[in-house]
Amino acid sequence: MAAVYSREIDGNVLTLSASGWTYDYTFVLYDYETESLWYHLPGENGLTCISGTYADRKLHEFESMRTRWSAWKAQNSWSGYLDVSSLPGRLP
Amino acid sequence: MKRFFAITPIALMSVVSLTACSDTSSGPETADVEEEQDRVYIVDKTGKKWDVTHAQENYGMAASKFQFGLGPNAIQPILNAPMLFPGDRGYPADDEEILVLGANVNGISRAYPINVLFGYEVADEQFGDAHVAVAY
Repeated sequence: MAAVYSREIDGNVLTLSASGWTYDYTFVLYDYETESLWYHLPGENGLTCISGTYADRKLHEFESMRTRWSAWKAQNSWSGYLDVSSLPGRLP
Repeated sequence: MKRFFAITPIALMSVVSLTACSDTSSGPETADVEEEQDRVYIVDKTGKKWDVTHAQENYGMAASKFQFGLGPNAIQPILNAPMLFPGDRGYPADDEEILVLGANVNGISRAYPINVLFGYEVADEQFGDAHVAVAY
């Protein structure tokens, strides 16, 4: 599943990352700040905190699109594109 | 075949994906579960305990069904990823057929190649004053 979620809650900004766990082959995320676990429950929008400080709270999901670059660029002519060459841990 | 390759995250994710697609009889490694008093924990490969009592009791997520437990630092997110814009060296041609996750937040458009995002799982981003996680 590919999606875009807010990282803001109660005026705080969370840093989300993979927890190293999956459930039903879907990644379980966690936040650095509280180590709460976040999961996209089937049939729901957004991320739900399934365990931790923010239990039962949700992070809003923004619209996103899984598509070909050519189609995305045609609709978003000034779109930014991830600078892959600058990412850590990548071969040149 | 992927054009770009990240050793550590892709290798780990390959384990996840290959195991997910494998014969069900072998299956992914499921969690070691510990119960202490009235709490339920899953223990990952680093020895870290994660309390999943609430997940189990309120969302029906059985502790024994959590998978892999690679540890919280096994897959690092992308933080404040630099972007390329039209005219920048390396900006893809308009007719490139790269599979991307496109996001438009606060009127700002960005695209993330799926094959790269897969290796990091999350890109923690800021679109204007909106802090978001682009997740695969």
